[in-house]
Amino acid sequence: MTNVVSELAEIYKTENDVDIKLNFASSGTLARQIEQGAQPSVYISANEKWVDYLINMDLVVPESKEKVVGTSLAVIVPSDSETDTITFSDHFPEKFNGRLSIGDPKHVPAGDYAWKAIESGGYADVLYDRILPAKDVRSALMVVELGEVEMGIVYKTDALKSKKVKIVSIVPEELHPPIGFYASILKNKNNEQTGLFYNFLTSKEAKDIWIKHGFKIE
Amino acid sequence: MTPALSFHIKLQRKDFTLDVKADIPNWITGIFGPSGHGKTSLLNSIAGIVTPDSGYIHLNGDILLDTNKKKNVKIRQRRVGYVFQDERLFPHYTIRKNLLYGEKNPDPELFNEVVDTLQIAHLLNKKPEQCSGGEKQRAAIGRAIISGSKILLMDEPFSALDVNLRREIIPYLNRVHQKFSLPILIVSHDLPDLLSLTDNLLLLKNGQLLGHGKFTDLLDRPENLELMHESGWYNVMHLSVFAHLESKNMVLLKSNKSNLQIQALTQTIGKDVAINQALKVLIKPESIALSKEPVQNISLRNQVEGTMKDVLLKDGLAFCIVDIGENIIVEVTEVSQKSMCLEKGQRVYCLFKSASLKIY
Amino acid sequence: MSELFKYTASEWSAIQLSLYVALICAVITLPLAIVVGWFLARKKFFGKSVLEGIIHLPLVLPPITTGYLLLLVFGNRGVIGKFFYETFGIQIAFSFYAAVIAAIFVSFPLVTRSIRLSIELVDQKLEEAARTLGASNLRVFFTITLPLALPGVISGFILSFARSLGEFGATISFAGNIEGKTQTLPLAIFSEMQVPGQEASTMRLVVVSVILSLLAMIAAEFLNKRVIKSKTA
Repeated sequence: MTNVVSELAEIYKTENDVDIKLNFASSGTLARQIEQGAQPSVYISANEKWVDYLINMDLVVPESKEKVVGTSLAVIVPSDSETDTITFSDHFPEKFNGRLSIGDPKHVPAGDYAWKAIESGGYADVLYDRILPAKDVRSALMVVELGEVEMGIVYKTDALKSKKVKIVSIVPEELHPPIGFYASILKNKNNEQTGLFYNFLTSKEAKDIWIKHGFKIE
Repeated sequence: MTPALSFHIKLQRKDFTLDVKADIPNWITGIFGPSGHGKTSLLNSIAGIVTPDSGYIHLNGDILLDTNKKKNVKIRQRRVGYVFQDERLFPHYTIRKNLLYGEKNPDPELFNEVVDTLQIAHLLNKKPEQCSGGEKQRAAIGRAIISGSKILLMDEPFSALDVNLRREIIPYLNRVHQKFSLPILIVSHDLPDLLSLTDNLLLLKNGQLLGHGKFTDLLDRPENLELMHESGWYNVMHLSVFAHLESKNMVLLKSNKSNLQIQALTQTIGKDVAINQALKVLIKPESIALSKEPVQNISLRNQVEGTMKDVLLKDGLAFCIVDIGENIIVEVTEVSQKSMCLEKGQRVYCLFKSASLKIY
Repeated sequence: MSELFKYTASEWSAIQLSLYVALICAVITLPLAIVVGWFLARKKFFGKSVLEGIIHLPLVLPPITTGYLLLLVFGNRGVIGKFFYETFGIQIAFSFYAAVIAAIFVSFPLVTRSIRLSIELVDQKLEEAARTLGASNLRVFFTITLPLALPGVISGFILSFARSLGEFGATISFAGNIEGKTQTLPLAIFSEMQVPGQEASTMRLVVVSVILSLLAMIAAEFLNKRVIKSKTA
């Protein structure tokens, strides 16, 4: 998310001469911040649940919830690993020693999706004490890059960005809820300025950028 | 007699070079000189705290230092008992633990004797901060002796205490020397205090040894005279108590070797001092006046007869060495000396007030 | 209200783990800090300022940076970590040991400073006197220097303990947030904070955190006063 959103913000800034300030963290963390009083104009979440949560708290404009892009989950290994391809449904826990790096399922959507896929795949009993929970996707990725674990699950879009990891499998989409990045507008900041940026995120111009970074447009 | 301590030390200091060669017998020896002229550096070299640039140090036949043979014994192995100017008792230990620091299991007899001699029995369970300056000093001396020292070095033992307390330590030091037969080297810039303990002196100026020997012998040389004069010198007479003249509040002191006899105020000595008690009587050369005849109708108690032995002239002053049974120095102006024709062989009377006497 | 203070198993686990890590860290850091503190206090040597700078680095670096650096050095591909991984198959990062190591690194500068200062305050003349009485350098250290520097040593120990209790950034980067293994109290508080609806849990953990820190500080004061009292009895 970081790279693509930064790029979009840059473009918007140049074209419209409007300053965009960005705050990156796991979606759950951001939702907590907003709940505690943070006042952004636009909230982009890596899953629907956090946006709904804020709608329930009457902090977000309900009709503004819109799925902007999607992606899939990629199983990754360090780039110098001997493993080349695996099949997620085929004895996944035996494909690696030690821990599996994923985002903390409690507050990192990528981790939540990954864990749901593990549950669906029937591996929850075996893997529940082999997880290395990271505080955000970036950390989950970095641990694999450093070779501290043999395998991890992150968004495909994040995996593509890193030269130090390689993708050995795409997690079958049926095994987890569809991954969607949702944009929403905060009730306090529901004005013209906000609306313009919000629309930009789903514009044709933006779409090209999203695709360039590996995201799926529905 | 083999010397207890034998050394030749050369050490470069900031303002001067220390260069001293001496043999120290098993007595009390004083090292005298102005402050900052190398006395403490000398002690530090003997103890091993400072390493001389060159030289040797032999203690009781053991080599502590020999730069030619590249031998330099470590501080902790030298058995040199250093009593520092600031005592340096360990604040977190009782006096007893302090005493036992150098030797955990000393001979019980030795321990008791040291404690008795220095009268520190009542302090054993106290901490240093609960003791007076004099008590701490005695404890420091005791600590050095019990640790098995072969020699005691004392750095300015008199300066930390006030005038009255200074004299307290002197009898203890005498006793220590007699009882434990330890050579004691005392450094001081206070000549009278040193002289109250010993006649054997090393004179140090600018790091150089000016003289070594008995005080009276040292007086013979002009350079020594000058050094001692600069530092506030005294005459020393060795006398004993002959009688208490109670009605007059005076004490009569006599010499064992001559007819010399002096009257002193009782309060300078003390009422309880026994007959025949040996004392050292000190008086400044400039506190003595000379006359060729006894003087009548004068308030001075003491007019001592003597013979002029020698005269040394310097800067308008005449230093007259007078034999009154012992040699003393009298300082008068050159003018007076000349006008009175005070020459060698002349009979003179030394006049001084009892109040000018310092008695130990 | 009593419902509020029912601690879950994972919460207890975090508290116990924190205490365990802090204790081991303090016990390991203390002797190291005494040795280094003594050298810095008493000896001059070439490169001394550089050493001082390196030791104090974790004090001024953001803990996250310290954690990242620890990963680079002790990780499986790091200078030191590689040796352990390839020779013994031991992975240092993301383990209990990593939590202890992170705690040691961040508390070491604090403890060393405290000990160094108190050794510097010990009168070297007393040490000199001890030598003239026949004490070896080791004996001088244990009978004179250390006892007189004791207040600083004790505060150092407690500082180390308290600092490790509160260590977050380096721990989460280098040791990770593994429940039961590396999730110390601060990490547990962080995790609970990220999830809405976990106020009660967060509060329970925060209360313990505050109480533990207070106890550590009070213990330090008490011990200090006792040492001062015993010296002046």
